[in-house]
Order: sequence, then C-alpha cells, then structure tokens
Amino acid sequence: MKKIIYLAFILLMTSCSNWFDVQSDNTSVNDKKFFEDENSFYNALTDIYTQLRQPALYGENLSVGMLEFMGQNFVPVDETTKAYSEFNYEEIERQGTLSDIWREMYRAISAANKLIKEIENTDVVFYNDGQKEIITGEAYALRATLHFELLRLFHPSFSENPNYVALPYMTDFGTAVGAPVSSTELIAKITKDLEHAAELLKPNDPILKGINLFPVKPGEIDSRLRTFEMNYYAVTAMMARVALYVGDYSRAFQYADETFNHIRDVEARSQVFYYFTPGKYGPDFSFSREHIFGIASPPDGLTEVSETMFGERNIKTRVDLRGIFPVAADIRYRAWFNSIGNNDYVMSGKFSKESLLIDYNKTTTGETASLPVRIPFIKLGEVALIAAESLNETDNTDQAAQWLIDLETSKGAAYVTQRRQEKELDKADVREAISEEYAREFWGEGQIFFYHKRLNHKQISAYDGSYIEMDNKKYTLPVPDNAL
Amino acid sequence: MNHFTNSFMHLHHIKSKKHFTNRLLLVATIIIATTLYVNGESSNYLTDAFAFSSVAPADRVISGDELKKASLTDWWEALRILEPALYDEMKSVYGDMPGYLPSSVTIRGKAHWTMNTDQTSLPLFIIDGARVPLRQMMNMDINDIAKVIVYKDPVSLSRFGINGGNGVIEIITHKPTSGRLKVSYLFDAIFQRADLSSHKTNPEFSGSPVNTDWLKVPLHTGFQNRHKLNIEGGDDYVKYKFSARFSPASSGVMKGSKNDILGLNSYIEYNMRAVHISNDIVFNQIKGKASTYGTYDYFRTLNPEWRAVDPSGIPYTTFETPEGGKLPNPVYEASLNSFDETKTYEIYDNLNVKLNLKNGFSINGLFAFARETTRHDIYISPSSAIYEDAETGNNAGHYDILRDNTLSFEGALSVDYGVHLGKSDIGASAGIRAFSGKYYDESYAGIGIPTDRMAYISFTKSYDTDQKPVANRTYDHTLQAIATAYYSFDSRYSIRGNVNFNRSSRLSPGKRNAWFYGVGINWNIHNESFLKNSGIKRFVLNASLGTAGGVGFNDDDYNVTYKPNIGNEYVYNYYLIGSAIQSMPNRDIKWYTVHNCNVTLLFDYSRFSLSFNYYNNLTKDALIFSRLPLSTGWENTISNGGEIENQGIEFHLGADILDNVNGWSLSAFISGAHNRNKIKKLPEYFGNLYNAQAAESNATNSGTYRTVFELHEGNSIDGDIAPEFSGNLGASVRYQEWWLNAIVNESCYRNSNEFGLSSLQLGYSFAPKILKKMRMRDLTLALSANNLIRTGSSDVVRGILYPYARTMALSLRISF
Repeated sequence: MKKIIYLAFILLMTSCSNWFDVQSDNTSVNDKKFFEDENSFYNALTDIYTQLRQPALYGENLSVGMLEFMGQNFVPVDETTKAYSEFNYEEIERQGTLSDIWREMYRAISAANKLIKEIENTDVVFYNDGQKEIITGEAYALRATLHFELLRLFHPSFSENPNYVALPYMTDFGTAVGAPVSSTELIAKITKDLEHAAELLKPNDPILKGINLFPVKPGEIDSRLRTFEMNYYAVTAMMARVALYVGDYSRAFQYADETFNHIRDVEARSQVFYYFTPGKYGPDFSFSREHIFGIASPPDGLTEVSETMFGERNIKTRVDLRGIFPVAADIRYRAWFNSIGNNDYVMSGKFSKESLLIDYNKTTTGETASLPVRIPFIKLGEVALIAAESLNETDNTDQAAQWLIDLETSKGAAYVTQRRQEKELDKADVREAISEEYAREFWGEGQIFFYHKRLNHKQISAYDGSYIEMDNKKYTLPVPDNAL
Repeated sequence: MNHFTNSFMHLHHIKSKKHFTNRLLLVATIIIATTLYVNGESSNYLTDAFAFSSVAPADRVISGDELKKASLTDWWEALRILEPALYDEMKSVYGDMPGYLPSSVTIRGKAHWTMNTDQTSLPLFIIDGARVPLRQMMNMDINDIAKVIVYKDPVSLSRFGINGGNGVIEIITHKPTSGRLKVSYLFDAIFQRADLSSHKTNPEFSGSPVNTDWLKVPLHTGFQNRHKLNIEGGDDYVKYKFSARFSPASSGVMKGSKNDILGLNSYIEYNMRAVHISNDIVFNQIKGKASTYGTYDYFRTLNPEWRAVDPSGIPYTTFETPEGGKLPNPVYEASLNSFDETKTYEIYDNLNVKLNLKNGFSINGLFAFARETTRHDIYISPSSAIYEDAETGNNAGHYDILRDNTLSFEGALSVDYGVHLGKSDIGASAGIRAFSGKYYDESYAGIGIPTDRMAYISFTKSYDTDQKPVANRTYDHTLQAIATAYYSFDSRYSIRGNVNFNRSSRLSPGKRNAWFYGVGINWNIHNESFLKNSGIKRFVLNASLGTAGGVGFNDDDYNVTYKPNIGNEYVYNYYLIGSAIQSMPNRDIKWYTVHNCNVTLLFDYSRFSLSFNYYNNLTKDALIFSRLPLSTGWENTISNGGEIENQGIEFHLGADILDNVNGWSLSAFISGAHNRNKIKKLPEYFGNLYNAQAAESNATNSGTYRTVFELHEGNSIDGDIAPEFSGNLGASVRYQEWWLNAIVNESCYRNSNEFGLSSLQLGYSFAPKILKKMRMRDLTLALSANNLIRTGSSDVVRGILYPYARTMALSLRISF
C-alpha cells in the first residue's frame, strides 16, 4: 500500500515539468509561440516600421513637425512651435516631447533587438528563399539607422565633439541599459551593423533585380513594396549619410554612388526608385518614386497632420521662400506650396490628401484605391547631394556639379546648369549650390536642421529673415530625465 | 522498503535536473521517514495534524444551526450578518439582485490593490476540501451546510499558500447519519419588497409636479417558492443521501428579474473497517434573468414630470430632455421582447477516500471535479429607442452570446500520523495536492434583426462589425506539497507548524516555486494545575504567524507577448500588418505575500464564552509598476514593491443565559470587528501613475458607482469604503415549542454609520409527543424576515443598480 502511495507521489512529481508551462490565450501570443512561424518574423519587422510613423517620431516630430521649426522652415504660431524655433528645450520637454522621442525610438530599437535575437536562434525553416536574411538584415539596418538618428539629435555635431557621450547602443531587448558611449564609438557600432545588414541584403534583396510582377504569396516579401522597408539601397544610402556625417568623403561617395546602381543596373520599367521627370509625377506631389526608403502612412496619418498644420492652422513658410525658389518652373515649388496672399505661402501641397502614391493602386472588393502620401526617410536627392558634396570636398568640382545638375534637371530647374554656362564653377560655388539645394529639397522632412548641424553652422537664417546664432547647446537636444 | 528505496533513488537520479522535484522529494521523504521511524505505541488518538483539514483557534466556525438563525434561505446573507470581518464590497451596488455574484470580498481587510478595476478579488472558496467555482459556492443551499469555516488563522491560511492571500471560506456539507430512512420536505415562500430608504428624491427634480414616481415603476413584490426533498439514511457500512431542490418561477423586486434553480445531489458513503469512501455528486441548473427595465440607477435620472404612457395606455418611446436630447422610456423598452438571460449548468463531484491504518497512520485521498458552463444571451430588440435616431438602417437589433466555462480537476493525497506518548501527543502529516483548472469564455454578436419577435441570433443579418468576437482561455496548474507537524505536551502546551511548497503555472518561470510557512503556539491555561477546579472551562492563549499569497498578474506580465496590429496595417490596403510587443515583461515578477500574525484568547467561564483576536497582517511585494530607463524603450514594467497593512481586533461574546428553565431558554451573543487598512509602502512613481489613471478613469465614469480611489502612503487602499467597525448583536429565546431569534447589525464607516435589523425569526417546532402521534420526526413552521429595517446616517445610495430588499419568508420543515 505504501509503495503504491510512494509511486503515485513520484509519478506525480516527475511527470509534470511541462505541466506548468501552459499559457493563456487571448488577443496576444507569447514570443515562444509567436516565433514558431515564418510569417511572424515578418510581422514583427513590419511592426517596427509601423511604430516609426507615430506622431512622436516620423509621423510628425521628426519630419514635418518639430525638426522643421528647428530648421526654420516654418513660422511658429504658438508656444509649442515657438519653443521649437527658439530651441527652447526646457519648454519642449515640459510636454514630454523629448522623452517621447527617446523612448519611442528605443522602443523600435528594442523590437529590432528582440527580432534579431529570435531570428538568429530560430529553428524555423524559412520557406521563401532569402527571406530570413532579408528580415535579419532589415532588423540590423533599423537598429543602426535609429541609433544614428538619435545620435544626430542628442549628440553635438560630430565635427565639433566626436567624444561626446550621451546615448547607449542598445543591442538587447530587456530592462538592462548599457553605459552610454561616445559619438565615435556609436558611429563604429552603427557602421558595423549597417555593413552586416548590407552583407545579408545584397544577395537576397529583390530590389537588386527590380520590380517583379509575379503574384506575391502570403507572407512573402513584395518586391513592389521594397521602398517601404529598409531595402539594400536604403542601407547603402544610410551608410553614405553616416560616412558624410563623420567627414569620410571617399566612403560617402562610394556608398552614394552604389545606391544609384539601381538606376543604372535595372531596366527602367522595373526600377523601384528613380528620378521623376517634370510632368510625369501626376498627383504624386511628394515625388515618392525618389524615396529610397519611406514610411507608409495611413490616410489619417501624415496627410491629417499636414491638413491640420497648413489647412487649419495656416502655418506659413519662412519669409524668403521665393528667394529659395527663384525659378517658378521648379516643380517642387509648384507642387508643394500655395500662396495664401500677402506674399505668404503654405506647404499645403506636398503631403496633402490629393498627394498620392501612383503605381501603388490596389483593387480590393472592386474598388481601386491609391496609397496616401508616405513619410520620406531617405531619398535620391539626399544621396545625390552626398555624392556631390563628397566629390566637391575631394576637389572633383566638375563631377560634383554634374550630380547637382542631374538632380535639378529632374525638378525642372537649371540653377547650376545656368551658372556653369556663365562661368567655370569652383569649390565654393558648388558648396553654395549644395547648400541652396538642401534648402529646397527637404521641405517637411526634417533634414535641413541636420544639414546645419553637420556643418556646425554658427549662424543660420531664421524663418523671419533674421539670423540666429547657433551653438552646441542649440544643436544638441538634452538627454531627458530617466533616459538611463 | 529497501527495494523501494532503490527504485526511488533510480528515479531520483534520472530526474536530478529537475531542481524543484528534488527539493520537494527531499522534504516529503524526510517527513515520511521521520514519521515512519517514530516508535510509539499505537493509539486511536486522533491528531489534529491533517495536512488539508484542521481548524485553528482564530478560524471562525459557524455551524449550520447558527447560520440559520441569521437567514433560513440564504447562506451568504447569513454569513455576511454573522461574520463582521467579512466585507462584500459590491453588495451596496448590486443590492438584492437575484443571482448576484460577489466580485470583491475581503476578510480582515483588503490585502492588496487591484491593477485594473475589472479585476475580481475573492477569497478561495472550498466545499468539503475541494476548490469550487464562485457560482457553485453561492448556489449552495443553506440546508445542506453542516458548518462554514472562515479561515483567518495564519497557520490555517499557510496551508492554502498561493491561494490563501485573500482569505479562505470553506463549507462542510451536512452528512447523513445512520438510522432509519429519513424523508424531509422543506418549503420556503419568500416575499421581497424593495427597500428604498436610502433612495432620496433627486434634488434636481424637486418642485416639479409628480406625474410618475419613477423609482416605483420597475418594482413589484418579488416572490420565490422553494421546494426541497431530502432522503437520507443508512447503517454503519453504507450511508446515503439524495436530495432535489426546485425553485421555479421566482422573481426579484425589479420586474422581470429572476434566478431559478434546479438542484440534484447524491451522497454515498461506505465504511468498511479501516476504509472510508464517500462520494458526493451535485448537479445544478440555474436560469437567471435580468430585469427587463434595465438597471435601477437609470430611474433616478428620469424627471417625475414625464409620463410613461399616453392617455390610451401606450408607452411613449422616448422623452425629450430640456437640453434637447432624447432619453429612452424604460417602460417602452420593457414592453419589447429584449432580454438578458443566463443559463448555467454545474456538475460537481467530490470523492473522498480515507484509510485508518492500525499503527496511528491514516491516509486521506480526495479527487474532485467541477464543471460549469454558463451561457449569457443579451437581446436588444430592433424596436428599441436606441435605434430611433441612429443611422443604423437595417442594422437595428443586437444579439449577444457570451459563454463562460470552467473545468477543474483536483487531487489530493495525504498521509497523517498521530501518536500518544506518555504526556506527549505527536502528529505529523505530509500531503500533495494538484489542481488543474481551465477557464474559457467566448462572445460574439450579431446585428440587424427584422422584427422584435425574432429574438435569436439566427435572425441577425451579420456579425456586429463594431464588436469583434472576444475569447480568452486561461489555465491554472498548481501543485502544492504540504508538511505539517504537531506536538503537544500534557495537553497544556502545543506547537504546530506547516510548510507549504507551491509550484504554479500562474507564476513566472523565473520564480515559479513559492514557499509558505505557518507556526502556532498554544497554551491551554485551563489545564494548568493552578486553574484546576476554578470553574474556568476554557482559557487558551494562542499566537501564530504565517504566510499566504496571491498572484494578481498573468502570463502576459512575464512573457514577451505580441499582438497583431489589426486595424493599423502598415501599408494601407496591402494588408501588411505588424505584430507589436505589448509591454516590457518582468521575468522576476513574484506573488505577493501576506505575513499574518494573530493572537487569540479564548475564555469560557460559567455560561459565558469569550473569544478575542488581535491580528496584524502585512502584505509584502504587492504588485506595482516600476519605472524603467527610457532607453529600454519602455516607461515601466510590472514588479513587486508595495506594502499594505491590515490591523485589527475581533471579539465574540456568547452567553447561554437560560437553559430550559421552566421551559425557557435564552442565549445571546455580541461580536464585532475593527480593521484598519493602511498603505505602508507605496513607491512614489507607482503612486503617481496609479492616481493619474484613477483620475482618468473617474473622469470617464463620473456619476457612476465605479470610483477608483487614489493611493497614498498612510491611507487605506479603498478610500475607506469598508467599515471601520462592524458588529452584531443577537438573541435567541425559546419557550417550549416557540422560538424567536433576532440579530441586529451595526457598521461604522468613517463619516457615517448604518444600523439594521438583519434577521428576525419566529418559529414553532412541534413537540415530540405530537410528532410521534403524527409519525413525524420534525415539523417546524417559521416566519422569518431579513433586513426589515435599514437606517444610516449616510446619504449615499445603497443598492444602486438594483435595490435592496426586505425579505419575508414562510418556511415549513417536515421530516418523517
């Protein structure tokens, strides 16, 4: 009898180690179960892009919102926008804006870290060729890119102080935070991750072959949607951006040039990104075909923000808009701005409701819908300017000018073209031309502030035509409380 | 033994990786081995050391007869009247709603805060040693109860480990006695009238002419008739009991509300020398219906100037408010076919096996099974006024189906040993208990019903696109291993201790093993020589401390969970959707532990018996959110860190003043409980976060009963809504065949108090002489009333969603 009891006891004790691992089922699923399926990795990746479009990040603050006021493109209308224009970070942080940026950027990074860890240790066999490498590559690329974006915000200009320490480089999902590291170290880590991403993507990314019109299986990466994701060329473009940031002109040019390989290598009808030509863009006022990577936005996303800013609140552009666009033929001027009289303009075209992504029409339940405008993250124009600047700084002035001419020609403008006919351009002229092009190309994209910061301009022209003295304090966003 | 040890070692070796198993086996073997090697004379001395059932001095045991003095028809009501330490928080909201199920019940104060307002906080409910679902517990018939035990003693609570943090209530059912077949018939006719004493006229409408007294519109006299047939009997070997109860066509005080029960029960017990086997099987079918008039709070908002029906008697569809809005007329709504009904089926089986071995050992085994399925149907007629203005088109009408299921198995086995050695009594027991519970609910809804009469989901046009189907499945796999030891010297000093190991699927894998302990010392002063012959019947001093715990979080809190971003697709129209991580989990999250301390004094002298308790219960590791560095990407994570203290006293004084003196018997009692709840430690970050959420929730729920109280260190956690003091006073008088019982209750809140005549009973039990002539064993007639009077100094409405009732019952008990 006792034996039976003992036996029963032991059986009970030993047979139930898995018995405790039951998990509840509701609307969410735990990581162990979730990553048992190939599609889940893609879902986890897609979520990171979805996170980036929230208003705290590229949905507003880091595109058309805060950064554009800091870049002096728009005229402030209230306390908040005034704080942006005046680099009054204390006031900005009062509303938690900097904390939100910091947290949400790192949240996207933490999601990428989790994904990297899962995909590198998974036993799941991927049915679609190269998909595992693409997803891993994109996750690495996102981690590096987002750290770089944070670096551009929270560290001073690299040329000013490469040893400034503020950001930790996060490589794990979890509650532990590593020590913050210097700009130089960050750049090294960013570059390493980007290179790893490029390595993984180059042999596998369908973008290298261009658009493939075969129907897409569920869960398969769609070659048509590659510019909505960190594709291989987005990685090379990012590498160019990073290299230029630290003044490594040869590498910057090398990567910028490689990005343009897509246009050179892929036949025109299969190209995923290319320069629009004037008159060909239709209702695509943000020239989305030039985006190497852009963040998709729902109909109530960026267009809604644009509608509020330029429709309801009538936020005006800086006073010298006509000075920036002296030629009315520039399609950017025509497509993006509208006069509201009194020599005032609003940027109501670029991200408006009418601004649509052509070629992405999709027919569902008998109705054809176009995609609403997306958030530009990195585009051909910037890569061309990186190439031009790198060439110019290494004394290839002529070649540099040609890159600028290619860019402006696609916009129906001929600023450099004309000037070159008038006289032979020297290094300073090209610098000047690049600077002017930066002021034209990135309206509503948050890049102009970073341009000034990268070159550590001590004085920038304000929205009202006056000048602002710039210093490290203004260029460097303060690290929010509880960041570390 | 040797052979067995070998095989044990072998198994032990194989599973040596399983760390917890090792520890557990070690503890178990030590205890079993120790008890095996105690060489003592065999005796029939019954130890008090059973691992799974024992009562300590601070536990409150209320017999079935005592309960019935408080209510003849409702055991939960009776317990609420008799046990001042028990507080049923939502009672003041739901009043006397038929089929009311408590969602927040505390014993000796609230042990922890809830992280969201929908979370229930209930004691563990047990019937005859096995866990049962809430509804099953509440549907227990008071006539089947032999006793109710409210476990409060730290040593007792430690036995329940991870489930004991909110207190434990156990019902021991009435078992048949051997003898001639006994047939009983029990009948109750219950009348209920709404008690609107706390519902004062809405000052908003004072002065306007009264055309309709809205507060009375949905009310009528509730009526229930209950029948129960009980057959029991048996001999020394086999005993049996069969009973059936039936309460058809019941109604509550609000029109249309009801809770009908059909219950069947069969109990068989078999005794053969050392073997004792019993099996209890229960089946219940419950049909409940909510009032067709909706909830009572709505009627307070209606202007008495408005008339419910037009001169020809047809109800108006809506009322126009002065602001130009429209309010549905509940009289019109009630005239429609809309309903809200619940059907529940319950099956419960409890099998007990006991072996009394010769050498002082006994083996107790229990196997229990409980299954409960509930189907809740809500139908809103397409003719309802809520569809009048809406652009619903042919989407008017709504049919909801909500299903709720519970399935649980429980097995327990213990080896108990007791021996009498000279002046010492020694007892020890070791046992394990495994519980497997599965809980799942699903709901879905259809819209677009053509006409009022088509009251079924089959007539809906489509699924309700605004209400996606909801489903949840949760599991509870818990293993407990308990060791108890008991030692008593000379019947004067005794000590007992429990060690309880818990491993549960509800705990984080990082911290899945939970240990609880309890130690109590007892001094029977009345057995000391200096008090011999002093007339003191009992004088006991008992002190104990122990731990119990609770979980409070779920697996989403310790696992990284992904949720598909349905409705937020990344590339619009391409159905490219992401799955987002829900929160930063905490792998190290652990249960909260309640450290209970209790001192009890029992003193019986002459006709008086006094018990007095002082307790101090400190909850540690209460769940909080702690701040995370923003670089993790998350604002906070769940963790442990709050402390809550409940401190109080309880007393109970009973007196048997007269015992059949010239036919008169008189007894009385007074009891009371005072509790002070205090937040000892509230991390600042969590406090601010919680209070901000509370403010937000109160803003959205303003004007409703759902208030979330802010947390502040030094204050109580529930905004002092629980009474500071609760007490009762009761008396029983018997004169020959007549008897009279009365109980009054008093509750003192911070700014108000409440007084009530909770129970008043008058009965006549026929004398044995007459019964013999009528060949009866018992014939009793009783008229009882519950809550006839309720007064209070507070102007807070009690019975918000459903009014309180004054209950009168006419009861008949016949047995042959």
